[in-house]
Amino acid sequence: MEKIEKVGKKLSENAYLASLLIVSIASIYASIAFTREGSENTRISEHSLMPGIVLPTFDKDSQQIKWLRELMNMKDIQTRSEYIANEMNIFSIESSVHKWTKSNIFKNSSGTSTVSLLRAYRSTGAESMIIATRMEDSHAVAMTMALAYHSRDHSYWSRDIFFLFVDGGEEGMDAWLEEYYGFNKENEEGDDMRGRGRFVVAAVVLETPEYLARKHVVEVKVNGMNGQLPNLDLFNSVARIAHRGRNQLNIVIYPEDERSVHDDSPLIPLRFLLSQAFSGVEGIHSPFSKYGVQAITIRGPRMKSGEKTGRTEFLMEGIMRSLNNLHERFHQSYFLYVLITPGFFSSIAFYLPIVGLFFAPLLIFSLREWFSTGISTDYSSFRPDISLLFLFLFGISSLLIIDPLVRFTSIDQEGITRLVIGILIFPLGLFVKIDSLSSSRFLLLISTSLLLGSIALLNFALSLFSSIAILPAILITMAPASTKLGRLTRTLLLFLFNPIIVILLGKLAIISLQYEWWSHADNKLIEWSVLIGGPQYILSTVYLIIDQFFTLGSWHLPLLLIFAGPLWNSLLSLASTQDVQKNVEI
Amino acid sequence: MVRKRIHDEPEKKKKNDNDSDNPLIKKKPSPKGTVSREWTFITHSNVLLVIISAIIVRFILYKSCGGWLISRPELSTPLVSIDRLKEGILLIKDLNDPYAGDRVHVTPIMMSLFPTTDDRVISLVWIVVDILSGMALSMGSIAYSSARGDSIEQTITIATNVLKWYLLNPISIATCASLSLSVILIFLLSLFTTAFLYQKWFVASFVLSISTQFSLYPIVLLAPLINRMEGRRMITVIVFLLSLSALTFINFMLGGISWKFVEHTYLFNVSVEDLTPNVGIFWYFFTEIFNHFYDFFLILFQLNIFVYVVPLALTLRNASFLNLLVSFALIAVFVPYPSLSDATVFFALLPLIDEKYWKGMRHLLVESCTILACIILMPIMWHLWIVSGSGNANFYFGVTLFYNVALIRMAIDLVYSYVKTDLAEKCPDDIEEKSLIYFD
Repeated sequence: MEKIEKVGKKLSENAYLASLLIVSIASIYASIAFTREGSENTRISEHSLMPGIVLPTFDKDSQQIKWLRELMNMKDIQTRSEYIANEMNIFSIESSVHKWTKSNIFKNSSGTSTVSLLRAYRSTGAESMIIATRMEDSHAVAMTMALAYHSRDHSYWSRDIFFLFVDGGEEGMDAWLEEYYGFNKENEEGDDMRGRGRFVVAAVVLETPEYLARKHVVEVKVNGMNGQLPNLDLFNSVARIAHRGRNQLNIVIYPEDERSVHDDSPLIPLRFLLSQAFSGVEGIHSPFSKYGVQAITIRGPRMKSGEKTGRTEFLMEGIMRSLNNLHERFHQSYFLYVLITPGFFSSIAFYLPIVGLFFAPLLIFSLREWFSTGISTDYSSFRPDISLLFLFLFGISSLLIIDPLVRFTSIDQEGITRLVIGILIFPLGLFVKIDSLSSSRFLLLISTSLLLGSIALLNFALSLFSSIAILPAILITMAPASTKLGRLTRTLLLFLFNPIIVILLGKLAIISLQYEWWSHADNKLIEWSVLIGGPQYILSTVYLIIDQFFTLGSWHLPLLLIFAGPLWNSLLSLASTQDVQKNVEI
Repeated sequence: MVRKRIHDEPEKKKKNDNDSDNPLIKKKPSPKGTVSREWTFITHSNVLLVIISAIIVRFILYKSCGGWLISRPELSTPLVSIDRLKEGILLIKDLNDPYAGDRVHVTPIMMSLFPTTDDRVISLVWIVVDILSGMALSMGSIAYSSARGDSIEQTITIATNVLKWYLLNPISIATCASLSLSVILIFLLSLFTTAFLYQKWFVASFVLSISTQFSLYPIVLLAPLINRMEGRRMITVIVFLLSLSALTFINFMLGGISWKFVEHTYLFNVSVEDLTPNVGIFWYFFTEIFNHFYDFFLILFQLNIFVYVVPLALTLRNASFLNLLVSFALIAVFVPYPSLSDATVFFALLPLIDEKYWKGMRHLLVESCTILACIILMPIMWHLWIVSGSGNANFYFGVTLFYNVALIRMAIDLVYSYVKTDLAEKCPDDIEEKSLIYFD
């Protein structure tokens, strides 16, 4: 035990040096772990998913073209919805229109989705799978209808298949899921669920964006709500089926532009991490993760004119056959991973130490406070300042106050957004004086590292980027400053680490990396417009964060108000407080 | 040699008694003095501030996420779930047998005491009861601190700390907001602790019997009570047994003149039929075990909590308060259906420990940080296991196991610190090196 104590003391004596060393190790380790050489091959762990690789038999292209033409002429969503339901009913696929309304304090929304259900006659209806698409994407809708028609003609289905034509994007999807799982909340209305399929093994969202129209590329998006990931086997099955047979499609993750795809580019894991951290809701596959359903979005090429069948249809057929044959549920492969390329991934055991190393300096500095100020020998001197608790309580209250504010005043959405920005930008910590500096520092450092560790289990990337942002802020706060000028300098430097600035930089990084603006002159303009129109951009970003919290339950707003804001204010408060003369020798 | 020295020097031992209980026996504080300290404490400005903050925080938490907290396995177990109590009350109202199903495990007295199922009324009652628990613990600490010979300022500081550690403890706040029946149990245990520290044997044994009929395992606290009530031990036990019998008889009468309640309350506690995850060590083990070993290990696990009672009572015979504290830790760890709230009284009474014992603790930093980390990680592991499906039962059980280990380590550390300090005071010349051999 004495040896451990000695090591602890030694570390705390050289806290800055040890921190620098640990961060360097973390960076080197990350640069190895997130490369193809340092990672593992993606493979299908569950062999029952293999039937997806069989030769595709999809042949309903003529009917698909007919539906597509009809849909192209149908702009009104309700008409479109009813049309889909009628057509599906004609082909003996049980269909209904699902009208929904959702209202919360932030906004009201409504929509009309269509639900088609193909019963599996070989089973008891205890399990099902979902193929979903956006109502406004005519190509994807026609493709899904044709897939439903094709599926009807085969008798090998052992799971019910839901074909969802979702109106209202993520909210529409969430509204249907809430109805399906019986979680209808107050202020939410929806038509009664006509048919249920009990346990949903997986969901695949089909999209056909225009920019992929004539390409041999399938783009896959995996991030669920708050960066939760689906089982890796689902992604692996899609990747394997896409490559094989008549498909010959290249799988890409997170690029918007095919030209930027290089298999071993370090930008791919970086994009993966940035989107996991900063996009609370990524697509209509995201709400599925709230209900424990494994879901991904597949963005494939549209049917080409003159070509008999599109490759996306073959891919979807293969995926459906894979899911049909899955044993029990997805559990064989990884749930926590980072995709390095479509063919390689890093598993949790390899990447989690990175975030641990990034917040390890916080623990070293807390040890320094523990040993150097006498808390370790005299526990009675441990008296953390209650003012810091006040800062965190203020954060919680500011989140709770939004609801009554909207209900009892005439404040509008923009007003709330400005209020939240004001709360996050206002340096409340400067007005809070700390009496017991060491105890407060110790408690804050321990709690922060604990929170970062906890977040890492739920959303690795968010924790990683938070650690990277928090670490320099902590180092600045802990820097010795005996003069007033020193304290002023460290306080001013901390303003650079305001949560709003960190969020903006994160969002900016996502856009920059997606467009690779340094290589495409056209997109450079987008970036500069973001920078020039700063205040408007801040407003729209924070608006999106608030909207996603109230409509879908994204965690970004609570994390900002309860954790990031109070932490920044606490650091400001500690940085502006005069350092106490240390009486106890280490 | 060291042990012999202790027995050889009874006079010195008495003189240097580590436990501050003995001064209570020898030199009782004047009632006037104690009352004055209590009055000073109540009128202290911080007390009112803490109470008001505690009420506001509880109310806000109940209003904002009470529904979520009610469903938390860390706070709500089959024995203290408010939903189950309400179900029992409604069944009685509809003239049905509350024990006909397997949901209700609350005693008939409890169901008769709470005629309402209105959450708003219950929440208000719970907040008041929780504040009273905090005040009761503070009052007890005043008596203890005064008897130890602390100055009035020290006494007020300690009592205020006890109040803060209870009322502002996030677990206490969450327990109250979740409307868990633990609030009532904690109130009874707080009353018991106060009576214990004031040496009011009758009240202590009576309240202990009520607590025992509520959840069975507080019977462990009888050992420190017997330790404490020197000279009145027999009568304390008799009062405890008589009142327990009377309460059981009342339960029998209220339960429709039937012993069916025994099967659904006490036997349910003993047989561990409900293996819903909680923060304890039973559920995982009994989920995994083969059925033919079930009874054997059940007996072992149930005996486990009682095995330590006699050795602890003998070791800490001169430190009944420490004995009480360690017994609270035993209850928080070794009962079949524990919740986080079971440790709140233990945490609240920590400021009462003498400073010299704090200094003797070896792993306080590790233990307290582990407890803190585990409490935060519990809902996260639950989310990974149940909600997102990316984890499994081992994730949750691992964290609860670490929590229990840290809690029991803290109790062991306290006992270690007491024994070492005691020995060091009695044998100041040669104990330093030998203590390492005996205790490290």
